[in-house]
Amino acid sequence: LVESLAVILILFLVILPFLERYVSGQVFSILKDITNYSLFASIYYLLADSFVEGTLLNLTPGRIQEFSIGFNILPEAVEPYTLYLTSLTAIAVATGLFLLQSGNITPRRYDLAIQGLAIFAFLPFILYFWTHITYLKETDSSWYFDLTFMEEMAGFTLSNEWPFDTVLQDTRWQFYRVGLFNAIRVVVLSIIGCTIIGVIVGVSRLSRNRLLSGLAESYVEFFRNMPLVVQLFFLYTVVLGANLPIFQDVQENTFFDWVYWSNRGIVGPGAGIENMSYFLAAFAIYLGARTYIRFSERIEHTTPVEIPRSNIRINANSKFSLAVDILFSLSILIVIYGLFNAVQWNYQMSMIEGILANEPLSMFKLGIIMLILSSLLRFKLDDLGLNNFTADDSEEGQRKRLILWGGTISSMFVFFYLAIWMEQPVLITEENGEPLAWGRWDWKEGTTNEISSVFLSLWIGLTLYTAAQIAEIVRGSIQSLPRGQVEAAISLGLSPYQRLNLVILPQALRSMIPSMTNQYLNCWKNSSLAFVVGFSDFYAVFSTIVNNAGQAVPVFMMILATYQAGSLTISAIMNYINSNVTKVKI
Amino acid sequence: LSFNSIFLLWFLFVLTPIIIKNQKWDPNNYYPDFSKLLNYIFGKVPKIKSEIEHIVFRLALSFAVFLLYLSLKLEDSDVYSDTFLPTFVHLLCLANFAYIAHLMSDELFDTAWNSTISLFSFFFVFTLTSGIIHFVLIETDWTIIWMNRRTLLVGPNFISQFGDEIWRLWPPFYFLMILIGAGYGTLGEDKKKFIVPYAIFSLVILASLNYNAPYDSESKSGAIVSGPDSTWGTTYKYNIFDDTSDFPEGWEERTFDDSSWLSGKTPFGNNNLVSEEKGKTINKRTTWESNSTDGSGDYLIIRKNFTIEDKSKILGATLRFTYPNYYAAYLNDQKIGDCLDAKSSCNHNNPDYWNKEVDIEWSWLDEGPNTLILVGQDDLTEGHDNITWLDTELRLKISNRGFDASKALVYLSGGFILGLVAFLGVHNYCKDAEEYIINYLQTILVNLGVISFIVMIILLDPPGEYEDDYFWNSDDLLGTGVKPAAWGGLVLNLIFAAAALVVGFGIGIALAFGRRSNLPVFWIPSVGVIELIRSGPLVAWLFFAQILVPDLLDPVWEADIASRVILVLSLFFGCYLAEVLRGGLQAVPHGQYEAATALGLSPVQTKMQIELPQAIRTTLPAIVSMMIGMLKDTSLVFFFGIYDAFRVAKDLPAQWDFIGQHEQSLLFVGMIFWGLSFYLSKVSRRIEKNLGLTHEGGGDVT
Repeated sequence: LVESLAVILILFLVILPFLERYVSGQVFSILKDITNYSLFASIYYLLADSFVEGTLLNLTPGRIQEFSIGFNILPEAVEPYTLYLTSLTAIAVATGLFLLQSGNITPRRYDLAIQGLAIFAFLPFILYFWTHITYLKETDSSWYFDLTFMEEMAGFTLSNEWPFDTVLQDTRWQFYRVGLFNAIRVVVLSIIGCTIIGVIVGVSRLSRNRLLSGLAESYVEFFRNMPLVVQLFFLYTVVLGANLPIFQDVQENTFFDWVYWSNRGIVGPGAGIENMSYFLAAFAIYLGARTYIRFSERIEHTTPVEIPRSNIRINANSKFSLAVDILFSLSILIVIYGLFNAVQWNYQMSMIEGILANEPLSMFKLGIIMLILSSLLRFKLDDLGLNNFTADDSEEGQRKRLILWGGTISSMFVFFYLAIWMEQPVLITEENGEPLAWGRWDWKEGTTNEISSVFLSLWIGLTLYTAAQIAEIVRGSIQSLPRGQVEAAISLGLSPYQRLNLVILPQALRSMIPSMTNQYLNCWKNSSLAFVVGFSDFYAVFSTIVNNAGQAVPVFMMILATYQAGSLTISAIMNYINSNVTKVKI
Repeated sequence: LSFNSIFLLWFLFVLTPIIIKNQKWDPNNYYPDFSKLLNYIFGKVPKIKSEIEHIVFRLALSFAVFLLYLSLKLEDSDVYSDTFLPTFVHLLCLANFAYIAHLMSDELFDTAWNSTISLFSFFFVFTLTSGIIHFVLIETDWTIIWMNRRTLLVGPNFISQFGDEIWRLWPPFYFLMILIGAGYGTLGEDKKKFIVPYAIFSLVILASLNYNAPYDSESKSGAIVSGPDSTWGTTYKYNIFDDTSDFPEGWEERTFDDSSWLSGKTPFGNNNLVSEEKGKTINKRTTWESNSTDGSGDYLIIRKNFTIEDKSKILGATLRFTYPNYYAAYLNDQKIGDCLDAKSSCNHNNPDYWNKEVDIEWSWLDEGPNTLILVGQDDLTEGHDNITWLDTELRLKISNRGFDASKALVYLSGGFILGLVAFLGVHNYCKDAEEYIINYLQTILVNLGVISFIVMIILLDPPGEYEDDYFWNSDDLLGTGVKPAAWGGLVLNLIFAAAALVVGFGIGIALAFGRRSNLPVFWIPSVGVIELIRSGPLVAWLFFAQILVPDLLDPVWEADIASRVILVLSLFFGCYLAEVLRGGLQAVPHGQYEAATALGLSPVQTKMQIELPQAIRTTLPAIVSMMIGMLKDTSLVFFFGIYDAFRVAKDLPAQWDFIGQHEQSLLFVGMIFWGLSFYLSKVSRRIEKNLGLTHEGGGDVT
């Protein structure tokens, strides 16, 4: 009955405008009101009907243990009660709305009334979900909310795992951790890659050279309008799956026996640290050069500095800042020492685990604490204006800087060369003198660093897709710059590269960063498509866990929480960068 | 054209001139740079104005691309590949490109840096273009797409399982064409702007429909299938005998009267062979045993009569059967497999023996009634438990040559003509009409769009299948319809996108106003819902739709997967839309609100008629790009057992005839999505321009 009423009313509403010419205005408005409100009531009835029934059903005795209401609703009474309650509610809501729309009422009372009406109208739905979730929690195992299942054995294996290892007996937490690190790894690399490609393509799109701008535009249009999932699957099956050589021929596809590639991925040389002192020395040279440059270019403060919100004045000179810089450099050295000393390379133990398990109170923690403290001090000095620099742009100054950095980088290379060992990948093709079938070939443990093809396809796909979006943002930001800026730069005689680097990009960066943040968040969320190519990010791990543990609700909540945490982290970092970029008001 | 030749050109005519110039040599003996070089070659040819829109320009470009195609085609052909012709055409093509470069040399080769960029970009563009031309037009066989065009469009279930239900899509198609035509008509633009692309589009579609594949077969149909359960498979006549001597006279002849025999479905075999596969329970196989026997060495004869309506369409057939012991097969009195007598090739240790595939010649088949007879014996060596089983399948190879597309052609061209008529009519009416009338017309069109969408849903899956007391008993009128779970293909993607757009717009507007409200009853839930939905990716919410929504809504609404996907898609779209709209609402000047209040408009009126239109106007580009994003996102539903276009394309290469042809199917479906999205973004840019929303900055001079 109500359904047919609704259909008739809709039809009437459609032909109503045509009636306007034939009836008087008052009659027309009454007709319109009646149609509108009864249509509203009937649609509300249709929506709320089954929810009310569900609520009443959930309240019948014996269905939910937790509730003890003072009265009983017998199963036979559910149907008539549904009819009465729903129609009463529908009529009440429609009448209330009508009174609100037509009555003389002060804004304050209107606000109160409309809130009350909203709560009343939504009551059936709220009550239904409340009672039904309570019911599900009592009866349905997938709605139990506890995390004990995460401590059980996972019962499956993963194919891509780094830096952690998993075995069949590991808990599900361990698998979650592996999936999380897989996702973070691919997203961080994609964000770096897409920023570089996106800026290049975005700037190229504005090039005067029509070939280049056309090329950039086709890139953007192609990758922007193609669904990401199609791109990923295409990359995985066709570009990397069908076009790369099969594993059988891996020995022929090599770069001087150091890098091998096949459709299973890219295999690079195994590497590690041989000599810690040389390794640290390389970093020390870089940090020393940086500190020296900062010291020599710092503007000397002559007046005392007042610390805000206090009456303390200090006579600060550049020695103070120098000390903070040295502290900062030292803490970085300690962190590196702690990090790499704790890690036993060759994948005997994973990086983070090594730090936590082997040296609980290691140099690493000390270094981190020092790093945080010195960074805080540095930010404070930045705020007080003690870290303002000037660069010597004369020819002599430039030459000096060139010599310094050239020397630093070349000596860093020498020290790195002395510090690091490398080994060519070794392919095991025979066992006890017997040649193996190529399906059982494997790389010798410890001689390789591998990039699997699933990782590659996800990384490339995410990078190219997000880069197209970022290119659009870069183009838009540059185009929205005032024309005068560019013209001023031209009239100052700046070269095209200087124009881009010194005038256009720094200003465009201000409007770019908020939209870029959005794209980075999208990239993070899109990494959930890893399951398309068979890469084990935490979403893929969780979908397997749901299949074998069955507790869908906590798993779903953990998925959401993880994505939310990642999004918040990215937002926080980008907000920090944004506040730095927009610090100078123009 | 190789990288080396480009590099050589660059070295000779870009790098060397710079070095020579820096040496401050005699300016009279100045070494030519690239534009000079082009000038030497083409200096005598008249130079036209260097604008890319110029007709000479376009002609030269099209001619160059055509030459490129020709050279690739010649290289590929058997006759000319060894001659000088391909090289000659290739050089001609390059000369053509060089002429274009000469025309544009002021722009492309004015500085050394610019020349470098141009040369290497050209190499990239050229390689890419020739690669694409070679792949699309020469190398690739697009048969897989042609064979599966209906599946790609409507999914696998419209045709096979429910009979041909494609007619349900024609009325919505007509509606759509009328709406598109009328919609363009209201814009009141130049007629050519619509008619030319529309005509090209229609003609291409019609031509491709009329296209007949230049091959004979590939399409196969199972005339006889012994299926895994009772709903599938063919019913046979069968009888069981103790020994060959019990066989009735003339059992292998087609005229034999088998009306007294048993009838039933195969496979026959072991009672214990009951397994579960993909949720389907395979029925117990019929154990066969003759009445008077020791239980071993029984013979089974099955007979099946089938009809071939038009033999000219049949190219031949294959018979596959699995049988472990003495067997024979007869088709129309023709013996096509014989192992009733012991022969060496009939040894059951021979692996070919177990799964036989016999090709049946065309001449053995008859137009009209045919008879297939199979006989087999229970296994003697493997014990006496009658585990011997018989699976058989007769597949007819059906020719696609002479596929009768005339009906579809008529329907389709009718749709296109309707669209054209609607455009012309509305255009004529709107040409001189007042703006309010056009606005009114557009409102009506939007409403009609929504109504036709609902009509389409009703047509596809008519209500009243389960309940007799429904107000509209449509069983007689519209048939049983196709369940949403069986929808598929590109149509399903469009249904998802359209439904989510409409529902999501409602949700988005409600949430945007809710979030901006001062009243806690509205803003607290709005913020909660928006932040909750936005915290996770769409796949997570589709996971929610698949696993948790049924639990949550079970007693209220037994939603099928399609409705659940629409629910989640529209929630997702609505939440993102709410954020976009919020920005637009914040940009509406406060004076507008005050003026509306002063005029005595109610809060709802103020919101819906003053604030919202202005907010939508400023955020329209963002809304359209979100719509495009959602259209693309509908391809994610493939993971949840729905045969959308991407899922179909993903599964096509599993077909026996097209194994591993991922490139074609994925590229094709990707390009369909690409085309839709690209078209929408073009429309959005046009609207943006018409509304005056584009800001011209200093981009052109940077």
